[in-house]
Amino acid sequence: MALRLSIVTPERPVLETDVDSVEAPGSEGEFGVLPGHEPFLAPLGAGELRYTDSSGSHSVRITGGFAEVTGERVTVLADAVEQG
Amino acid sequence: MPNLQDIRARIASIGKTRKVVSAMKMVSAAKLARSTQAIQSARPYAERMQQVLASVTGGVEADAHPLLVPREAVRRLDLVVFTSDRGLCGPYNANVSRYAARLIGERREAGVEQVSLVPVGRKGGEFLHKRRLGEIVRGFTGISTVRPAHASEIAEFLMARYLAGESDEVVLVYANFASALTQRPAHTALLPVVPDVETPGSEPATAVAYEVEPSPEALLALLVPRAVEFAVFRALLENQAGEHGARMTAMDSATNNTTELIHSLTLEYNKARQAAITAELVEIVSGAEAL
Repeated sequence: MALRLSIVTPERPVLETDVDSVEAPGSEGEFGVLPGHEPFLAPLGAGELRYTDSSGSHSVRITGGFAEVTGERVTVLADAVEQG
Repeated sequence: MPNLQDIRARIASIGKTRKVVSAMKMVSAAKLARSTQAIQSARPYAERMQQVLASVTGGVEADAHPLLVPREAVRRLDLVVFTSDRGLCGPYNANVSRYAARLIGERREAGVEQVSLVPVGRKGGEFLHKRRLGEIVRGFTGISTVRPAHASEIAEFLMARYLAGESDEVVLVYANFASALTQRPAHTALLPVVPDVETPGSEPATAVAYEVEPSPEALLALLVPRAVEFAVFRALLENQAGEHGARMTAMDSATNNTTELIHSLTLEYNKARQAAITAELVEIVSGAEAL
């Protein structure tokens, strides 16, 4: 089972892809999300958002925002991103 | 008989005007394309934001965040009017400004005692100042390419006023960008924030019971200002696209008008030239006959 990760900013949709896991910089500390995670909402701080898909591990710098997690998808409402 | 030289000078001058307006039309078309792209790009964020906001506010008390609480009586209204900084865009600014003026009249009749104006864009500011429709508390100008930072600055100013009790309601007036030909002035309430539970076109995700970290109240404290900033951002985008669309349309008809004018002046010029030749011939012939 895959996890659908989408990252959107006010200026543009940044990313929409299937991933195996996500690690996000929550404002209360980093948290990891695997498929089938309990639905939850959390504010994000500035930091690296890492995700792993079939081609390996990637990371995106975000400056803050929110993460909405359901069993099969993670939506990140980011303020701004720098892709690296 | 019209002077040949005068007509030639006019044709040349209109030809220059034509170059200017057709260049402006091209520039506006390019900017319009970028602006509509920006509106499109903001849409996914808007949909997710609305869903998240609706699902968080659905699970808490109505007074969980001060920006969510409507005032019992609206006596002081803040009106944010979005127009362009520059003219030459047809009736765009006048339409928005007139709409705002009408809205102010309606709200005053409905019991609003004090209307404070926050014009975004120089043209609307000038209109509102001239008409003395209310006190202008602050104006924002010089936004050439809309960035989220612009929206934050405006939103923070408005939220501070609302929280300080300087306004009981904040309303945005801007033209909804329908197409390059039509921009419809409209108004939306910015504050207090009313979570839009029924979003057309999105799946009803509100039923999902979220676990919220650290707490719904703490999340709302971050989420609500963000939603307000984004609402302002959207209005800025609509305004930007509307301005360029209206200018493109205006400059297109200006280009057509100059083309027509050059055509009819050329016709007139040729007639005058022909008349001059005929007159000269008549003179020569009658001169020869007289000999």
